[in-house]
Amino acid sequence: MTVTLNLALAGLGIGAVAALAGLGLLVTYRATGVFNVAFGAIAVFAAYVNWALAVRNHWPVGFAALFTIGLLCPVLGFVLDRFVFRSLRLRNAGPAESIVASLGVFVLLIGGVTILWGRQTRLDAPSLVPRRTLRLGGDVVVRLDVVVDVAIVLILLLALLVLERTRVGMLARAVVENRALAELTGVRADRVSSLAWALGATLAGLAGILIAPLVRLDPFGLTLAVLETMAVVVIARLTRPLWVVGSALALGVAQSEVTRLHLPGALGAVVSALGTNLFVVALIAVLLIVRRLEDAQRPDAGSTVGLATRGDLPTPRYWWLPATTVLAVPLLFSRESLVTAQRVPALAIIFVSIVLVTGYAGQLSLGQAGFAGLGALITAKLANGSMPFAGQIPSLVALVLAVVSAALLGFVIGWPAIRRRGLFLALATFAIAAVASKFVFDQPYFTNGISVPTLTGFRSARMFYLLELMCLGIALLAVQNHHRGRLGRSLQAVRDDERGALACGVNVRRLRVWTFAVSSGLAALGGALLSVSDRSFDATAFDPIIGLIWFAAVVVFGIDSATSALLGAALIVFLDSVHSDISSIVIGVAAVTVGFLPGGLLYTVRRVAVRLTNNVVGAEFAGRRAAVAGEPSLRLSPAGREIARRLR
Amino acid sequence: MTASIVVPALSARSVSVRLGDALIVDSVDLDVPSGQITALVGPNGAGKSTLFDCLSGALPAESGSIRLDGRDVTRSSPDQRSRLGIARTFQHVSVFPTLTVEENLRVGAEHRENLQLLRALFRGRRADEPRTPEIVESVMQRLGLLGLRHERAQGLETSTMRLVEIGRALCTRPKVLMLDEPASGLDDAESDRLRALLLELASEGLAILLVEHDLTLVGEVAQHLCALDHGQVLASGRSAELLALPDLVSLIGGTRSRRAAR
Ligand SMILES: Nc1ncnc2c1ncn2[C@@H]1O[C@H](COP(=O)(O)OP(=O)(O)OP(=O)(O)O)[C@@H](O)[C@H]1O
Ligand SMILES: [Mg+2]
Repeated sequence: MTVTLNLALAGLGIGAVAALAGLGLLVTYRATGVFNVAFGAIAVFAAYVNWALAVRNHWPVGFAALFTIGLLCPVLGFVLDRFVFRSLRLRNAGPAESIVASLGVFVLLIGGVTILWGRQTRLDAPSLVPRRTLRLGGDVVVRLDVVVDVAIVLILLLALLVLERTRVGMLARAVVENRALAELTGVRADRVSSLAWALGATLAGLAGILIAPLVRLDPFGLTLAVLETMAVVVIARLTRPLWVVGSALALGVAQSEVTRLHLPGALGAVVSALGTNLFVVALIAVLLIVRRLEDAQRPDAGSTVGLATRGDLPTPRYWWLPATTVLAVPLLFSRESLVTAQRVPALAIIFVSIVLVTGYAGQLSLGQAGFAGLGALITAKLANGSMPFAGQIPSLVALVLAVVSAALLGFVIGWPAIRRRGLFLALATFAIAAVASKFVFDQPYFTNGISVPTLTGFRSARMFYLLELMCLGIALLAVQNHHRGRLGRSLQAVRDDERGALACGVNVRRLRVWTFAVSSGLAALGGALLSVSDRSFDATAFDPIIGLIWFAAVVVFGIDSATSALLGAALIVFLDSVHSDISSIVIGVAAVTVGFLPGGLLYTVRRVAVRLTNNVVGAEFAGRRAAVAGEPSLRLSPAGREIARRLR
Repeated sequence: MTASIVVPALSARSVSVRLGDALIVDSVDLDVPSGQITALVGPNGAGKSTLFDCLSGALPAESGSIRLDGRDVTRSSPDQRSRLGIARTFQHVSVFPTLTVEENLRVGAEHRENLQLLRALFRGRRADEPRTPEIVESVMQRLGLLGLRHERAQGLETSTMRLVEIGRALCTRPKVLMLDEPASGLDDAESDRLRALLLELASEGLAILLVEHDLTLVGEVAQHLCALDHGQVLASGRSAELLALPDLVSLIGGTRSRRAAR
């Protein structure tokens, strides 16, 4: 009984932090309509700054925290709103674009943290509250910081509930419901958004500083820990603060209680992972099982059209030349450089799998890292003979089997996941990757003593590189077959207008699951090759956070262009070989400016080139773009915008 | 005119649709006979488009049944219904903006059978159905779209987009064609052509259901009329007889002059 009570009280600590993070996310979403995926990164950034000030620069702990939460975070939130999200808002950009922009912020902040403070784990995060315990009678004890955290959450919840009923709260809701109309009645909508962003960032920062001493300070692990708390916001259907707090505290307590169970074997590994990752399980359960979730979303939430190229530039005659050159040149390299270059085709295969599922089929899928990791792991296990119920299998066959089983898994998971659209699909796929990472890749039970095989017949660096090129060729062919002919047309139709496609008899759901499965298989292929070229299975190489960076990279280079994905992969491998974290900074900066680069970097370059060489084409192009966006090309007053909206 | 007994191609029996808490369509009975044009009229917000969505499967019916050629399709998905022979257009034009006109029609034409995905994965374009180009060609010819075949739909004028949408629907080789305000955004000459097209299609045996605010156009083409208000059928029967009732016409709130149509 006492143990149960003590564990419950301890669990309240994590629960309270989850509630704080969730409330921050909720405030921003409700006031601006942007689901700020970067909140996890803001939290981690704040935690690191706080740590650096307090531990490295020897500021007093309270002072460092005050500076971080009181000044740095609000300013950060304000800057993000003003310089990243306002332009998207003005363009009436879809949710997919705001997700990508906040992913950009995410990648940028995480990249900044790793460059400034390294990737190693640190255990000396300062605690705001003295580490003391209170005795509540008998053997029941509770840590002081838990009491303080819960108190903060409850006060905040009360404040929010009151705020909802005041003028400010009403204004905020009015702005989300109908921005133009709210502006028409004299609301300063931009101020409301700035305020909400500042508040959201502050809460994220507070959560980061509070959670750091409870978990530990490392850029990926801590970020994931914070991101997992998204579960409570989804449980609250993105709307209800009371539910956020209630479910956060309940999950925190439940998670703490799970740590009592000790079981042997695979089950034990899973249960012990539950003790630190119940939130992500809740996230995936809600997203896959609950039937009606979409109510809170905008009807166009699934649209990724804003990210895609318009397909209105003529294909250049020698379009294949740059990519082929980039791939062929490493064959002339020395062995050592060739080994580095081996990452390029592998990464390119993963990237084209993202092009397939998001670019061609229009589904936001953030979980490719999970399937890549599974591909690597299954290949290694089958080739080692350490897979249960299977003997040792020749390594090439193992590779093929791994790809097929990842595709089948994608099929099985895809079936329920595919009901979701836009944001919720993105979260569901991310949760899949997080579960794969936490429950499989991070569990010694599954990954201890794994040695990655060299592929029979392709042992030398050059032969292996050629094999990779062959695999890439097959992958490209498969992906291209999803971009032409009947299949290509159907997918494009679904991406353009789902109800129209349904009315034409296109079996949308079947196509969705299919592309999800094929892209899972391709990701597994890329992941397996990646681990063979690395000569080891490294769980951090398939961290879900890495998956987010990959996704942002593909969008930046051009979400619906396989060529761009290929060149992007080469660029990233090159940058990484120069300095390990440069690439995430580059990707982050580009993703933040996604509002100005529709269609991605390569497409923008081509567009500018076309415009420079031929002004007539440029003018025609601009006219067409305006027509796609469904917006008249003239500038409208708020009243005019409202009228235009009504008319549409 | 002599009354003839026609078997309805599409028939709805006490169909209701609920959106949120509101009953938007309230036990509606509707018959759409082959070879004739049936007009669905009513003031704004009457529930006409919602009924369309329900008949085409985009929205589930809360109760009631929908039959196509005697076959119960109440539970079928929209794509199944399309394959069975219900084609429709949308009030807000729905074309595939990044596809060309020809490709738009092809998507309509090539989904009578489910796609063989594995074949398409390995064979790409060679897995296409051989019959599609013929169908697309004849529909484009009929609608005068041949000159625009390689244009992307996104740059077209609204009236042309409507035509593309109708063409796409025709390419599915439907038994029932449902058009939601096809004349809106069309000028006089264009709606004259539309009228001729509708009459021609009906004479070929197609069952047509038409939502239209322009009662002049309705009077000219439709044999049957169903007037909807607040989700309920106010009146249904021969359009000539119903349109002669001034009370009904003013209640419907439709327009008489073609130019005033939305
Ligand atoms: N998601 C929804 N939830 C609740 N009510 C809705 C929803 N969508 C539409 N409605 C309501 O349903 C009613 C019928 O709408 P519908 O579009 O079917 O009318 P309509 O007859 O097609 O009108 P119009 O002539 O303007 O096209 C309207 O009053 C509308 O406000
Ligand atoms: Mg309507």
